Amino acid sequence: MKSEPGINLTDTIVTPIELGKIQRELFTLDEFLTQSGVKSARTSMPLPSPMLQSLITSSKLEMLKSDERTQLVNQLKFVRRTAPVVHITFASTPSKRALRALVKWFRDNIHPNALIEPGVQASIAGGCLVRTSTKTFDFSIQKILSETKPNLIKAL
Amino acid sequence: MVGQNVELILLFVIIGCIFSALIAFIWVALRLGPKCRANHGGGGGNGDIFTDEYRQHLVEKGTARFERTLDQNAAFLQQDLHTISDEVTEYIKDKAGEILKEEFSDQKQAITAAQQHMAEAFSRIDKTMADYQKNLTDQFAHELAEEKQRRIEHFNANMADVITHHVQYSLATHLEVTDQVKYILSHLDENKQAIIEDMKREV
Repeated sequence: MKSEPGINLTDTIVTPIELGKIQRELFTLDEFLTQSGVKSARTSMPLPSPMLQSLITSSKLEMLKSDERTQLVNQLKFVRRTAPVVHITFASTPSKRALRALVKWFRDNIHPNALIEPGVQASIAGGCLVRTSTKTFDFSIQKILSETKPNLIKAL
Repeated sequence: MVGQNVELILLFVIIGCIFSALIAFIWVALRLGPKCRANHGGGGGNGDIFTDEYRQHLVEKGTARFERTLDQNAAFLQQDLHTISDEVTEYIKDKAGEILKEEFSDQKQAITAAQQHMAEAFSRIDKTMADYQKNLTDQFAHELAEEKQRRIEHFNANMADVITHHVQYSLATHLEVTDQVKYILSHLDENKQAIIEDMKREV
């Protein structure tokens, strides 16, 4: 599976919310830079976040050029529309590092711009639940405990 | 009955004696009365043997004898009456005793039969109660065993749930997702093909 050529999300952009945030930032920056020649425009330039900076760096585009900014905006819109989203439920709030490791696997094996929608469900105890559009893959410890319950009863 | 007959006969005999004595006295009086008057002629005339005084003496003597006889007969009658009353009393006593004995005997038999019947009834009741008690005991033991088994199974199931819940809570609380990444990635690798096919359909 391939996206529009030239844009691959960085590891720092994991969730659809972060992608949306990047898009809003980019839009604000684009607006500022477009209006920078107008006298009534505000004087201070909005600082891009580390996520946007890393995206700009990896895309090798010149943000000062209007058409390249537009291209990046359109590419992000395309990604937003076409990138597959995987819902992963954890037992506790996952760290950024863990999410990056997982999204890297999905981007290396499934789709280069796959996104993860994390959730929390303490009852699964550990591991995760991976939900795609039609299937759910249960890698949780709750499942293992349920499967071994008869042994526990027997041991009791 | 016999006593009454004896009494009657005795009474008739006594009355007969008195009557015969009376007849004899009257006969003697009639026989001697005109002769004596004739001999004494207003003093023994007309061939009378006894004088008026002698006749008076005989009358008095006869009267005394009659009275003595009457007294004797009355005494005999009284004695006989006492004897008869004693005999009747004894007869009634004996008869009443016999009748009472018979009645008591019948009552005793009835009581004995009733006692026996009650004893049999009690024995049947005892047996029925013993059987019922045995059935209850068996049923109770059976239900106790079942309840015990049910509670053990319930305990085992609940205990397993408690342990599972405790493990889940402990793992969720203390296990970091970062530490589980390798475990998750290994499972993702195992199911890679299925995930790819599903996400292809979605895309």
